[in-house]
This record gives sequence, structure tokens and C-alpha cells, in this order.
Amino acid sequence: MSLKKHSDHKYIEALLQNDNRVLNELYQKFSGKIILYVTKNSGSYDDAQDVIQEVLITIFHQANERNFTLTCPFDAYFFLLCKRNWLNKLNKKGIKKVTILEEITSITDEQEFLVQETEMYEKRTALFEKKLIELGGKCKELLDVSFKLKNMEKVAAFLNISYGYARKKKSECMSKLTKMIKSSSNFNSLTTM
Amino acid sequence: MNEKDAQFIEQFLNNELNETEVKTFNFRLKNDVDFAKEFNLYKEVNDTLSKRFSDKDRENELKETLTILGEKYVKPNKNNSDAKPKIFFLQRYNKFLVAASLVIFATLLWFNDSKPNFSDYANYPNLELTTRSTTANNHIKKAENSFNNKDYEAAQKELEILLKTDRTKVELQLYLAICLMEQNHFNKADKLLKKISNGNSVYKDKAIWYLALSKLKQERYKKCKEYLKKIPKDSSEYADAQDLLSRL
Repeated sequence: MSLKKHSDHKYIEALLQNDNRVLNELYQKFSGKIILYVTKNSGSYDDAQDVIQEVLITIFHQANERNFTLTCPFDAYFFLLCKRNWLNKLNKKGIKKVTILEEITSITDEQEFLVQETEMYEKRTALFEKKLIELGGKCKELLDVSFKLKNMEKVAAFLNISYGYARKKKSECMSKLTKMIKSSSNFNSLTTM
Repeated sequence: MNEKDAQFIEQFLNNELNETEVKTFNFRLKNDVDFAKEFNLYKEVNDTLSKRFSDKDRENELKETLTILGEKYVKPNKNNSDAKPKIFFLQRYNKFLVAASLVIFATLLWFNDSKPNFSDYANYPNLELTTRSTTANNHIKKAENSFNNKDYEAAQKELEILLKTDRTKVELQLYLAICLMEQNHFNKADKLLKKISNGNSVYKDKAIWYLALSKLKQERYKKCKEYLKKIPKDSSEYADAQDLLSRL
């Protein structure tokens, strides 16, 4: 597997930098195929807009949190992610009938791998966020603040508790959170790639 | 993971262990497979959520840009002839957005945590549809049950079916928008709510209130405030709106 950065990595950089010029180019070049796919398969223009935005935010998360490097052309990678996102939504709605537009889907193994990696990342981190919400109460409040402020002295000052107590509570709450994540039925299928 | 190990990991990540303790830590990491697994997951969750939470403002700025680009490129009947001047406009507009967001970001950096939560205000009246028709009866029941049990995905499905036969029923549209908002489908939810808020139905003020809640959930506090200020004094949402405004 080549790890060489593809020239289309500029679109990933544009998401990280919120670069309006390059993002304009991204929409201009790549949104057409996705709109066509979604609207040919029981979706509306609003659905297409949501799919595109959700996928781009997922890529942003992966790039921002894991230094994701694009090693293949953006076109097929992006299309396949959007396509699968939409198929999942259709599946949830119970719609199985899908019009296949083969002429716009030519996927290499490398692209397939990157798509799976991005999808896995999205599902795994969504599980983290879901379990944090389920954790609730004081634990969630303390973790929310410690994730935002990072520095435990600031966390303690913000919550008006002692530094020692804040640190002890954070590890206790993290222990609870990781237990909940691990005991989730789909955790074992969400391996890091 | 037991809490003692969690504390040990937390101290290690914060560089609070002395030399001997670091050696013990590294020894366990190398020789205790279960401990190593616990450490990796702890660190992954901590690193991922820290980054995601601290970069929420950047994410929201990007969403603003993507929403504008989506309106421009994804909606039908947009042609290239009207795109060019808009590129110029949007680039300038985006600069303004970035500048404005930077100011907001700097202001919010320390005070963001004191903002009210969406869940504090997301209390909806039960869905009780009074209209009855023989064909839609089953879907009405399902929509009511799903919504009142907070199964918004199922309620959305049923409401969409009901709206196929009764597209003009604003109450259904309002509850559909709530379902969409609850599932974070903000583009669709906001569009529907704007449509209701621009109409003259009895749900007009409720739609403005839910638009404000949608913005609150998206952590777009400025927009949230703008909507809250639009709710008139004689509206049943006025008290809640004032309460939320005072906390923003």
C-alpha cells in the first residue's frame, strides 16, 4: 500500500483550513455525481446536500484527529463514501430497490481500503460520543469540561472543585466510559485499521 | 479496567509519574496484554474526544461554509451563469464569517462551557393527532407512539407517510421537523421550520422556537439568539425564549 500523498490531498487540506476557494472547486467537480446517484435512488436534493455535508465532516474529523492522508484520487473515494452513506439511510428506511449507475463507479483496492478506513473511523468515534452521552450526569459534565479545557487545573477551577478531586474523578469517569464502550455489542467489529 | 489502573494511566498521560513509576508503567505496558489494550483504548478515547471538543468551533465554521456551498451547487435550477458573481460574493462573505467566528471563538473559548444545553429545553408536547381517517389510522397510531417514546427515526418514517396524503397539515410538518432536528438532520429540519415560521398558522411561533433550539443544538448561539428575539410577547413560547436568552 502506497503512503504517498496524492495531489488531491488538497481537498483534505481545504476542509482543515476551511478554504472557500478549493471547497468551491470540490463541490463544482464532485457534487454532480452524488446528486445524480441520490436523486435516482429515492432521494431529494436536500438528501444529497445532507449526504455530502455529513461525509465531508467525517473526512474533516479523520484528517483533524488522525492526520489522514489521501493516497488516491478524491473522486472515487468521495463518491463511494457518499454512496454508502445514502445506501445506509435507505436501508434504515427499509428501501431496498437501488438503481446502479456503474459508469460512475470504478474503484481500485486502494480506494476501497481508504473508504473502509474512513467508515470505520466514523463508526468507532460515533460510538465514543454516543457512550459519553449515555454516561450522563456529573461524569459527563466533568469529561466534557476536561476535553474542552484539557488542563486539569483549569477544569478544577471551572467546576469549583479541588485539583486532586478533579483528577481522581476524571480517571474514574474515563474508566466507566471505556467499560461502556467495550461492552457495546458492535465494539469488537469496529477495529482500528 | 479498574479505577487504580485508570488513575495510573491518567498520571502517565499527564507526565505526573516519577522515574521509577514510569519504568513500572512501561514494564506493564510491555508484558501485560490486557493492560496495554486498556491503555490504548483510554488514550484513543481521550485524544479523539479532546480534539473533537476543542475543535468544535472550527467544525461549525466549516459547516457554515458547506451549507452555503450546498445551497449553491446541490439545489436544482442553479446554473453557471449566476454562479460567478456569487463566488466573489461568497468568498467575501466567507472572510466575514471567518473573521466573525474568530471573534466569537475567542469570546467563547473560556465561557463556552457555561452555555445552556439543548436537552434542557428539548421538551416537546406529546403528539396527539386528532384527525382520523381509515387508511391513515395505523400510521397515526405508530407516529404518536414512536414520537412520544422518543423514537424519532421511526416517527419520522410514519410522519412522512402521513404527509404524503396530507401535505398541508402544518402540525405534521412541525413534528417531522422535530424528528429531523433530534437526528441532527439540520438542513432539512431548518428548511421545514423556516417554511412554517414564514406562514400564518398557529404553529408559526413554535416553529421559530424550534429553529432557535436547532441552532442551540448546532451551538450556533448568535443565530439562536436572533430567532429567540423574534418570538412575540403574547406567544406561549415567550417565557421559555426569554429564559434561554438570559442564559446565552
